Amino acid sequence: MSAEEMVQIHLEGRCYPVSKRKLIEQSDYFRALYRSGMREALSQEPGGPEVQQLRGLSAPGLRLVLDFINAGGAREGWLLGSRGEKGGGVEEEEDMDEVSLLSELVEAASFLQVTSLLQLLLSQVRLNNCLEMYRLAQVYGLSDLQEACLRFMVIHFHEVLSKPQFHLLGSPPQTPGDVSLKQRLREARMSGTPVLVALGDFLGGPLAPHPYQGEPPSMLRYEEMTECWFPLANNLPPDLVNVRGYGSAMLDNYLFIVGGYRITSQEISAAHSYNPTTNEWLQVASMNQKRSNFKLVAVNSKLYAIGGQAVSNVECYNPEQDAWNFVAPLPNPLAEFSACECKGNIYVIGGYTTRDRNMNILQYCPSSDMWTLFETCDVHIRKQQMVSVEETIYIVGGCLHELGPNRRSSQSEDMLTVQSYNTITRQWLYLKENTSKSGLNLTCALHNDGIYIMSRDVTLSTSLEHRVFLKYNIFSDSWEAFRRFPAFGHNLLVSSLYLPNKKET
Amino acid sequence: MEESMEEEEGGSYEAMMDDQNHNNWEAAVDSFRSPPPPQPSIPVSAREPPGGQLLAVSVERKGPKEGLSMGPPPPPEANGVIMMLKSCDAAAAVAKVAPAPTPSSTININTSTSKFLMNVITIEDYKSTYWPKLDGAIDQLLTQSPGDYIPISYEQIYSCVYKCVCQQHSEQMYSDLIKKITNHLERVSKELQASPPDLYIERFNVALGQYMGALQSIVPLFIYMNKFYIETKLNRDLKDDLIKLFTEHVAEKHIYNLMPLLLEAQATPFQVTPSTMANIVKGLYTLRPEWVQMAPTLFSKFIPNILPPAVEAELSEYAAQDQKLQRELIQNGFLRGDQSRKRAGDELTYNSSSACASSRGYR
Repeated sequence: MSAEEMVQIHLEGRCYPVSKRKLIEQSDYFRALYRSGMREALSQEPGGPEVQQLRGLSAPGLRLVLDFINAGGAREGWLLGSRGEKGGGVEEEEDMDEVSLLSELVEAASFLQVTSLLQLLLSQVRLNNCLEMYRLAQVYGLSDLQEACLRFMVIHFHEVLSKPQFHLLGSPPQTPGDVSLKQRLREARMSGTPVLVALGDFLGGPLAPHPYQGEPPSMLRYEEMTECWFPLANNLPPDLVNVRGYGSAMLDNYLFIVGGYRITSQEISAAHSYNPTTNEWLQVASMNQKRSNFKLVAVNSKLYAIGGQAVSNVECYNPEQDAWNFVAPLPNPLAEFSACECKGNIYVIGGYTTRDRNMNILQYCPSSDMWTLFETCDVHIRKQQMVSVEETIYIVGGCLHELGPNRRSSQSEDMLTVQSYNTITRQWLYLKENTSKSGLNLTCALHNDGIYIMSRDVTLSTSLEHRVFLKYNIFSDSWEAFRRFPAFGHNLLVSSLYLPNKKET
Repeated sequence: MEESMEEEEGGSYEAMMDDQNHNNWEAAVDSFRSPPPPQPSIPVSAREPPGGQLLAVSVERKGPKEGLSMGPPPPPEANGVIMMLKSCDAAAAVAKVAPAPTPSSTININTSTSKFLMNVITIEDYKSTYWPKLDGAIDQLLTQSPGDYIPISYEQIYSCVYKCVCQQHSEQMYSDLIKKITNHLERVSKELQASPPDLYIERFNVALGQYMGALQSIVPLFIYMNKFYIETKLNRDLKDDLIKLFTEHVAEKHIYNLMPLLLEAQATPFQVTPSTMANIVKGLYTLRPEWVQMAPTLFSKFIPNILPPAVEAELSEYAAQDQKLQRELIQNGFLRGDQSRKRAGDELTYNSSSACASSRGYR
């Protein structure tokens, strides 16, 4: 067997030997060169080794690519994997070297068109290199790599967004029809299957409707076809267990759980977000103010933590900076109030001020950072939940108390009502009531065509509260009851999130 | 109603001062200010920003704020990603606090470590330096004969294409290439038209051969553009595009002159060498398979499966044709050979196969 034919690659006066067979096998550049019949393709003076001159590439980049070629292509653990993600104590110098080496490698691999190496990069996208990889993919026209980086950035959206370098990539749209990278990623996060998820301190044991093995799960998902609840392959982080009175909101398909108090009546400021695409909880920046029994509302890609127990201040969380900043406070501290977003503004309704009933509807405009009195109503409501569709706010449950001359019903908590308030016509509609269900301490979420509600039945007075799970269909103005309640438990939260489709995982 | 109009106007400071309700609120805020402002929690984790100062700002604020968080996103720095990464935290802090009004459209690739991309190639640079270089090389490749020594360096031309693609000149370069080759082919077509009939077939063959030979070199030179522009953006292939150019600008214009000449040449032995005939017919078939219909018999001589496949119903007819051919051959003096002698093994084969058949029959 004859020795392998070698080619000497010259770059900047240095010489790199490589197997000609492997070179032609791995590099489209060399394959095309030998096919082109041009000067370099013809056999050179006999005897001496064949020489191929390259210019303009960086030596470290070329060396990495030729190592790859000499090794015969993709091998397990080669390349970036060996210097994958490191622990917290990464030297900036090292990171810097890695980034510049990465760009040199991608350039050499692109120039020589080593497709298998470029293909290998797709599986090497990490949090610490995705932005640089994306930039390189744009420069060298590597559409597969660009797609892989985009997919990665969609999955880890907030982590990527909070990197200061992100704004260098997120160039403003070039043409009017074009959307920015940030917008593209944000839209892509809203894909998958919308699923109802219930969180809470569920009770295990023989009384639970489903005999779960071991510890009862704290996160369940609802399967609409079978009307069954299944545990999610994750649980609440330990420091969120037994936290009450927290604020929760969905932002970019992350479920945020912020603040609250512990059973030991300590208020907290910590903030966590659940990312359904990775099925992971992340701790994000804590609020500046410890607060509980407040409202967390998502508006214009930011979160607003409004008021709380004896607290009137409001702070805003921007995932781009992973930081909370105070904004204009509520005119008064409020208790037992509720709030929601509607058409880019926040509306606060009901509850009590420090002195009296709050009869005002307050509106907060994020762009002007101002609270204004939107309207004064003649029905007092407290402890309700609020969701919105277009310009209509739905007020679910709560305790109604009519003050006007033509009062309709007496104050009662043994009734679950749904009302709507149109923020344009300012019209109230009393939509539906359900007299056997409690309107207090319920949790609800807008999901598909209705508001899914978990509350309790007040007609049965057994030792264990009888829980109910029902839906108010906003289009047909009708109730729909479901047989299956997830489990006995307390401190429940129901939320609608997009879970990744099965085939994608 | 007044209130809602005020909102729509974005609520200027003056409007706010005039607003009855807001003035009330101002008082409410003032009255609330008397108790000590809530203390920010002591930052537990390192990621928490120091909040005390921000809190003071928020409590004192009265009008619309030029906020820290509300401000425009930090603009790109001139340095590019790599420099940015090096001084990550410090730069981030600067970028957040000091928004500059200069919006940057794309990442500046100037700062790339790449020597190829160090200098920006403007469209003027492309037109004055890069395209002429490619233009010259393409000219040479189009006009030389197949097999000639090509003095052009692959590495140089490829690098030139590579740089232009990376600097976003793919679209221009692709259109220049197509234009250039179209012009060349139109000239070729005119020259062919001027050929006398006796040289026509041979000249068409040369033109076809020369062009296909040139593509052998031109296509590899432009593989970077093909991969990163034509395939991905246009969903086409450079080689197919260039072959199509020959079809449209040469072959289609000559097919109606060429075909009668080919048929005539086919009927006259040695007017055209069989290799020329084979080249042209195979070439035409590659360019446009439908041209077979113009002369199925001619094409079937060089390309398999042109004529319709045999049909069972016509088997007796095929047999009759073969018998007729054999009779004619015998009449012309060709003998069928000694029919009486069987080749060795024939009988054995026959026996074993019949044995097989019979055993199958018993099952």
